[in-house]
Amino acid sequence: MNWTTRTTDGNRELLSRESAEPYPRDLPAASARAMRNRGQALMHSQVTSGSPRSCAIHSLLWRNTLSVLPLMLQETTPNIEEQKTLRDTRTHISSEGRRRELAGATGLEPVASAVTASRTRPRNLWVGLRVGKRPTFLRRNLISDLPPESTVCHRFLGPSISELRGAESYSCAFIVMPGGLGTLDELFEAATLIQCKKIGPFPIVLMDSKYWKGLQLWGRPHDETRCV
Amino acid sequence: MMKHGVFEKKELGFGGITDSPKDAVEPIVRSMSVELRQLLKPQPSR
Repeated sequence: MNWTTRTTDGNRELLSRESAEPYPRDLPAASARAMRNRGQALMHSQVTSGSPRSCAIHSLLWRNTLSVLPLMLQETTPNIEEQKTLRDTRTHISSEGRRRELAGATGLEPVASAVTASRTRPRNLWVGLRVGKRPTFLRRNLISDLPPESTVCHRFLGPSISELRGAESYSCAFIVMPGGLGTLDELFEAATLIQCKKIGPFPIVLMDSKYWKGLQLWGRPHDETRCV
Repeated sequence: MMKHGVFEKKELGFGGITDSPKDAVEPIVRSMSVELRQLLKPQPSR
């Protein structure tokens, strides 16, 4: 059952009953470890734009046949230059014989459709789920056109902590690109879950040293003042 | 924070800050089990 509601800024949102179910709802109860042992490595890659650097990362991941979650925000970046970079990367991925549907047309719907299709055809790769917070431009421009049948949309619209945790439990690494509050939220949540031994352990890589410099500086006074 | 025992290095696995996509992906691939790495089929770059 799907229904629409309105956000505080007047835009329509598509919601679904499925959004309240644990992630991923149609996967068997096999553990993340079992998935990884079968080569179904899932990469939770926090990508907030189609920047050349993030595209390069995804190209490398694809080359190693590691599936990735993203492309959603890449597909919907408002930046013209980033869209061009993304198109180039999609061409590159397609030329390597990767899933063409993931490299589909610009926009949210083709990606959502690709994920829906991929879930009915088990392969070595699980692709396309985007779990995270919606950027403002996406909320303003695209959210009313989301196809109701798409799992992606559900996850995208209303991930709860448990859903994020579910996604993280199926991941084998985190690459965190520069992002906003949602990115920070997920970064620290992932670190906390690893510390509590709920997931992982696996590598957390922060991309762009300049961007994360502030976070590094934030940690230092805690050491100096012994205040945590 | 590690100095004061908030968490230990081993509790958070490993990672780092980098500017290179290659440096970001390589340790991840290396961190996987040998069995899994054998299942991966790296594609030639173009």
